[in-house]
Amino acid sequence: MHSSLVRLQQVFGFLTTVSFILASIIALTSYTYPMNPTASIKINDVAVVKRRSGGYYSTRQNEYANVKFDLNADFESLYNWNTKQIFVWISATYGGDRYPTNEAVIWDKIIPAAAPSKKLTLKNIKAKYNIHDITGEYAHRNATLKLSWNVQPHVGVLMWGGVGESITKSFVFPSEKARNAV
Amino acid sequence: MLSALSAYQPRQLLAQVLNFGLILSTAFMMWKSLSLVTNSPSPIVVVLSGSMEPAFQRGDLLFLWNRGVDTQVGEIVVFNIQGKSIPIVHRALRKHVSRPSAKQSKSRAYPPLKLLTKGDNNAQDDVVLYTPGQHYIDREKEVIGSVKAYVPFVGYVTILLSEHPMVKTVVLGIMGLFVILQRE
Amino acid sequence: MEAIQDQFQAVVDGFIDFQGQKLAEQITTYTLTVSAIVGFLAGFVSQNIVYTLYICLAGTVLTFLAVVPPWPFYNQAPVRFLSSGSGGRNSGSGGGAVVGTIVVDGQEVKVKT
Repeated sequence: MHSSLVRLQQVFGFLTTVSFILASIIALTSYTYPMNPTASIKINDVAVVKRRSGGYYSTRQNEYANVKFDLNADFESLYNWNTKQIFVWISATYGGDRYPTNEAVIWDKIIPAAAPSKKLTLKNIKAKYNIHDITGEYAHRNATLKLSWNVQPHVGVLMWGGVGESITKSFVFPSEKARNAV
Repeated sequence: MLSALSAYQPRQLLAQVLNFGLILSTAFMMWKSLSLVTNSPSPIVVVLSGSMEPAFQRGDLLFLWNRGVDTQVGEIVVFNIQGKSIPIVHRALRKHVSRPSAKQSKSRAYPPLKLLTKGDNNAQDDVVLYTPGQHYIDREKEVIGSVKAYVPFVGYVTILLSEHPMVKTVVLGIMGLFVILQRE
Repeated sequence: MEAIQDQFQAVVDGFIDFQGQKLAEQITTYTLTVSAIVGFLAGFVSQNIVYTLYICLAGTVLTFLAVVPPWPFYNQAPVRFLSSGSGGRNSGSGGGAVVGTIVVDGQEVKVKT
């Protein structure tokens, strides 16, 4: 500590150690908060349309599925001092022949910590993403919608979760151009 | 500084070189061990673009884990497009698990998994970023890990250094100035 | 010109005495640790991480300002060196009291303050 340069290095070194320990403790506090968000989904409408997939490279005709739904959710319990934002999404899972497991996000939303309300009440909204299957067609497959969330901390471990089985909703993809009210 | 050079002692010099080499190789060993534990070629990455804002800003440090072979939709994955060297950090939007062929189900531990990704801050999904004609990325071949933890801002130094070589010269210049002016 | 150069050199070097070094190290440890603890508690209780950030940042800046430049209060107990030339064949008047004797090059030498 005899010269300015050495003192500068020492302070910086100790600062790094302290910052590291502080960041670890802050990250650990994230685990002490119980997480129990609630949600419910109601599917209003599923439509399948055939059209050209976007872009210049492809001339393939794909089937696109549009889903309209209601959503009620409360994420208040997920927010603590270490939460930066929450990424919420609704995905549809379905099976198939060539691809036994498929899952596609049809809607997502970011709820930052500064948002005035951590509750969502959405009525009859259209899915953000019109999904198309990798095989190009849907053909009457069973699908299930489920809501999941991802907590993004200010520092620390990212946490994922899904709201329980009881709120998943099953539906059947209708054939092209047919509308199937559930 | 100049007086030190005039008292040239080969053994001391060699000892210093070895010491330096020891520090370097220890750091390298720690990095590679972390690579082994996480099964990822690059277990700690710095966010380079703003495509995942507001979640990740440029300069954030991400810790990856590559042993979760059944990547779920909604996980944030880091991947390299074949042929391009810059790693991309985006969220998995869609996943399709193919039925393994008879040969594959005997040799592989997990079936092949295709993912479609999209940055939170991007309006479109990542098909424009993939190689032309590619619509999905392969979990095994192109994904180098899934983000499990993160620390903000710490990596900004590396971005500064790589994008503004001027900063490197300025810092080295100031350090050199200090060393010369010091009366040691 | 020489005086200015010397002053500049003194500031850049930043040499401080041993008591000052001990003080500097204590200030570093305590200030950084206390600002980290206070910052953590402030943020945790108010559930707002911005408080933690600001308090810790303030503590860091304070520490750097208090420790790195060679402030005068670090030089309160300068090391007293023996005056040069008070040994060997030169047994002329040194002006101070004899404190003891040490052996230099096989010869006994009186030590004067």
